[in-house]
Amino acid sequence: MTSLMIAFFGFWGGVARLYGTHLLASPWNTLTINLLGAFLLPMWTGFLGPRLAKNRHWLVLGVGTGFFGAFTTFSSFCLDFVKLIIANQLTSALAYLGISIIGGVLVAWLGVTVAQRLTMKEMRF
Amino acid sequence: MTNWVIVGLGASIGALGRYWFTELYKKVHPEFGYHATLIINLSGAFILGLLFSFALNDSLYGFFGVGFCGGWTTFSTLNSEIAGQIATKWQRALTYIALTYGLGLPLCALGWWLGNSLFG
Repeated sequence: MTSLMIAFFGFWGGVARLYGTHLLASPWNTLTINLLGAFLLPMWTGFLGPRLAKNRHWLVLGVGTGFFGAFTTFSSFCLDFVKLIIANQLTSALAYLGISIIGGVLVAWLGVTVAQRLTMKEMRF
Repeated sequence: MTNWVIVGLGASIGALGRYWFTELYKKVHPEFGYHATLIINLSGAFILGLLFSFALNDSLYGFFGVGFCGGWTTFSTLNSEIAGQIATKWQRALTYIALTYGLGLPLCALGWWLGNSLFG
């Protein structure tokens, strides 16, 4: 069941990424998708998922590993960076790299923290 | 525009492969489960660089490149794992970051270069 759900939500994660890449210019499209997904994954696994999907573990994993995992991408990030270097756009390449590394950790940490706060708040009331 | 069904199918197979590989890896190395994501991301970066150099048509690149490699690799899990370790095991988290980016980018460039030299 979990495998089926991951394949199903992975499909839609990939499709959402495909359409998302048409909304902004490269490489900022992939950057936006990656940062959005990095924030939403811990929000989903830490707060939203267990509430919306209750004890359906396969659904939490399906959306988390399937959708958000396939929505975000590391390979396209690398290729974007290499393309910028080859096009001699060193400043853009370094900005892209820096924002991805630091921004990725920051938004993921923010997602984990917000999810924890919301969980604690809920337990108090 | 690339056919969305083709991209979706590739992403679906990539995501499933990532889940299976990670589960298998965690059984063998329970303490270093996050190494699975590292291996996945590094291999995907290399394969995408290689695929890009082949100058495939839209459908093939959509399936294998945008779909499979995009679904196989992940940025969200990577950063969740780093964020989860940075407070308590910060040295391990920094090593993880250094290995991911320090090896991922050259591997992608290597894939591209290899593809161009061998088949270009």
